[in-house]
Amino acid sequence: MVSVTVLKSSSAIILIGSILLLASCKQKSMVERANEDKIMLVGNSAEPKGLDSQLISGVPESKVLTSLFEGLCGDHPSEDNTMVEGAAKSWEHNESLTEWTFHLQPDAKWSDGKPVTTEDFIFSYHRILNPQLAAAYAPMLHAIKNAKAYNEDQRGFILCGLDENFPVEWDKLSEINFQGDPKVDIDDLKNRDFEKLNLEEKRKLIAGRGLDRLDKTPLEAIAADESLFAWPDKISTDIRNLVLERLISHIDQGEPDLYDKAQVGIVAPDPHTLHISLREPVPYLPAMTRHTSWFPVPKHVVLKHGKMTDRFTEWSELGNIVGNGPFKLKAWRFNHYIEVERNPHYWDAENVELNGIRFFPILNFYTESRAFLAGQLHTAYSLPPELLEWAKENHPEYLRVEPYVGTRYIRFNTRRPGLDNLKVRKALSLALDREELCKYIFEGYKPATALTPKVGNYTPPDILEYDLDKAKALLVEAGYPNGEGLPRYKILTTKINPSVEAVQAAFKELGIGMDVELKTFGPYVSAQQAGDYDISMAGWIGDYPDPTTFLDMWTRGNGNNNTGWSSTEYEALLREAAQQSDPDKRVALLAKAEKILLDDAPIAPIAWYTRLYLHRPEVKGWHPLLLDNHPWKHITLEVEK
Amino acid sequence: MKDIARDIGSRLLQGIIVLFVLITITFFLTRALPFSTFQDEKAVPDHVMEMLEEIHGHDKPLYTQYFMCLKNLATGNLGTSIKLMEGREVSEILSQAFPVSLVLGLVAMAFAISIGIPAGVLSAMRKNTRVDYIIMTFALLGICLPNFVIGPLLAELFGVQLSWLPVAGWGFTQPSTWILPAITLGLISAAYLSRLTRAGMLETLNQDFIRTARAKGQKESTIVIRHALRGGLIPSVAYLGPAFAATISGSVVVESIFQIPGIGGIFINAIQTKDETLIMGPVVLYGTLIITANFLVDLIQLWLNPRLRSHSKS
Repeated sequence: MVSVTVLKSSSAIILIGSILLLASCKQKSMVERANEDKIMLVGNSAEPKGLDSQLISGVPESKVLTSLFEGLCGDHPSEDNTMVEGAAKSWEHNESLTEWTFHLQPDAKWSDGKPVTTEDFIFSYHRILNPQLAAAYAPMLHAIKNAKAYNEDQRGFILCGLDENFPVEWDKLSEINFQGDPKVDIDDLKNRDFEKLNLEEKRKLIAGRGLDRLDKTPLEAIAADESLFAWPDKISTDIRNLVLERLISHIDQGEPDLYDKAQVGIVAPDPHTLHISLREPVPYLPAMTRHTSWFPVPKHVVLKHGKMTDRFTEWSELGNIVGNGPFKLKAWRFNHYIEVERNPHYWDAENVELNGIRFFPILNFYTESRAFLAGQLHTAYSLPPELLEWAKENHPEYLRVEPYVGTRYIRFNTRRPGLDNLKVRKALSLALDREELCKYIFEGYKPATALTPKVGNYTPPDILEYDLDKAKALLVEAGYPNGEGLPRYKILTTKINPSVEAVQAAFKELGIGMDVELKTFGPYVSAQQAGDYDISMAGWIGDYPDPTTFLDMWTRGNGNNNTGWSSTEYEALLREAAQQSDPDKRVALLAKAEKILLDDAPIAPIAWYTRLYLHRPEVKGWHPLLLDNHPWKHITLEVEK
Repeated sequence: MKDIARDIGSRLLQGIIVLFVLITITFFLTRALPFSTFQDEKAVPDHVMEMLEEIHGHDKPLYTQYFMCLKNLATGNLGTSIKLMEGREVSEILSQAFPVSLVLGLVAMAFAISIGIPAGVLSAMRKNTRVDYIIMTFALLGICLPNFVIGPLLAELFGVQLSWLPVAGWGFTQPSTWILPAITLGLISAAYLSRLTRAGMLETLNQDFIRTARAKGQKESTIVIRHALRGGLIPSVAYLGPAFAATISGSVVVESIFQIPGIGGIFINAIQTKDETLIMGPVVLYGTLIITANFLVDLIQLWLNPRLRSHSKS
């Protein structure tokens, strides 16, 4: 007796089976078909927030953008420190490395056929620095003369300090509190009506904001009552009034753009020559121009879809976006893929091998590894570290293990009792057996001997060590034998994983038991920025191949420091290095600064990053690079027959 | 007729109130997240932060923002994403993602129904035989095994080892990309359906009218299909509605495993980055859908069952 329902269910099974069979009839994998079409399939971790190079900050965005745009200098396919021509054909600089001239490619065109000129570059740098755009990566251009003042809207400096007709020099004026005192907490006063504040609150708000950030009402109030503002004694009443008058008249005029008055150090004598004046010698300027924040944006397209300062207008969307890179945008399906195709207008189009690239935002790295092994990707973004041993054994032909400019480290909140003691911090750092940690936990990573990995001509000092006895002795000296008397600290992290557990266990060796505090990424970041944590697991990826990308952040008041630590000696060395145009002397000064940082131990570096990923052998022209920016135009797909 | 109109009106009003409460709770819970939308991994300078707050109206008092939000939603304006995909219309993002979630949900439910119900019927017909035990064992496994275990296993087997099906990605014109995620997503519903159908069928098959039909000498297949199935499916049908809603809205894990560009992933990322408008969008969309679905079910029940109408109480 065969019932109809049985038939029904078996027909369903047959249906599914036949679909499976049908699918299996497609002999060629996606990669094989893509090889024939010369299209590279790239795992790109996350969906780009957008493609306006001046507003994004993530790595996935930058991967797509480097195919669509090109900075003044280009990436070399295999050398980290060799610059090749990009949007600029050649460049030169003065002896002190402060004056640079870039000569643009004479035939360069945007992907819509319009010529790329210095007008676009000036517009681009003006735009990213414009305070109204609120571009998070604008500080990458602060080395340009007066760029920082313009970007931070330092009105006092621009309207008075830079004006040759102003009766008093800036040296003297700079003692006025234009920028606001970060130590004065005005969070609860900001949104209140100035008129309704009492005298003390008014003084506090004015001191906290500084003259540059005040509206007309408080400025007029200061003009009427000098006691509201702590004027330096040296500044006469006439000058005080003159300063206020300039600030108020700027507001009265509707706060016009100060770009011209700020005399930002970028000029173009002709459509293909760009002069950049810097505030200090920057030997790595050509390398910096390869960063997305230095990419040009097409003036004519940006202005067609909005004002210079409008954020994320339609100019950077599919159908509108125009670039100067080897590829142009072809398709964009959210969370699915982004596809780029050859840009026939690219100045070096004949040397571009690929017909296109498809970027897949696969956030789940296990899924990505499966997709790679199933022949759906040419290159994957990241291999989960626990699969390293498995991949070594089973797929050595795919596995790539390459150095990367990044460091995993522990951050100490030096404002916490106990952690304010240098000996305690040193003891904690000495308790970390970095060799063992890298061998078993941070698989593939290199044990850190300092914060900055080897980058450019900088060799990191060999400072960090593992010495449990010394650590215990330091604890005794500090008055906390075996950790007795220390409060119970929490280690802040975004993931409970073996690395945080290993660090916890290492500290336990000293007798210091700690808890782990788990937060999702947003609260994790804000807790550190607010100083509301004890110890945190942290990481930093360099933006450009120079030690300052790791060292500059530990200065006082820097938003990425978050340790409460600062050192005048350290900052003096960084400043001295910034003024030094001899490359060897410069890195020696930076190494000296790094030693101070590590001796004071507001942080305990653990390991230097390694890029672990799967990659198909038919991709040629892809070499290990410290910044991991592989120039797409040099890549070919060659299948060995 | 007047009563029915009043019933419908009152259900409609209830729906609007539920939606309003949902929006209000979502708005204030989102604002209570302990970090700023505009913060970044690298510290955002104060002047940039203030500028961003001003651009997105976050410098205004909370109640003003709340009324702005209500006003925009009332006019059908979901706004633009303020962080995750800043500047993009939320409606544009959802219009790309929702069809994917919907198709995936439909295929998963079709799979669940076409496997679960026949299996349950078969199991009930062969009660306490080997067939029954095997089916019920699989059903129990289907309920117990979470989809983050099943999904990768299926992908490893059919995708990586056998190379039959793609393991990641989505194509509206490529049904091969639907199969693994739909099976993974639909498996738990299939398992529940088979158990519910089995129980419902067993109860119906024991009733007097079935015995009468058998005594009259009708064929077993006719008895099952024409007489028993109707009654036996009642628990399963009742389960289908909520199961469908849960399937299309609850595919986050499956989306991640198979790289499906649906709404689940967007929703989770929006919460993690505190993208307030992009959190509100899916909430309003799913809220409206579920409320509408319930409203329609209520209507059908009112039509089917006179006892539910309010005037019958008096």
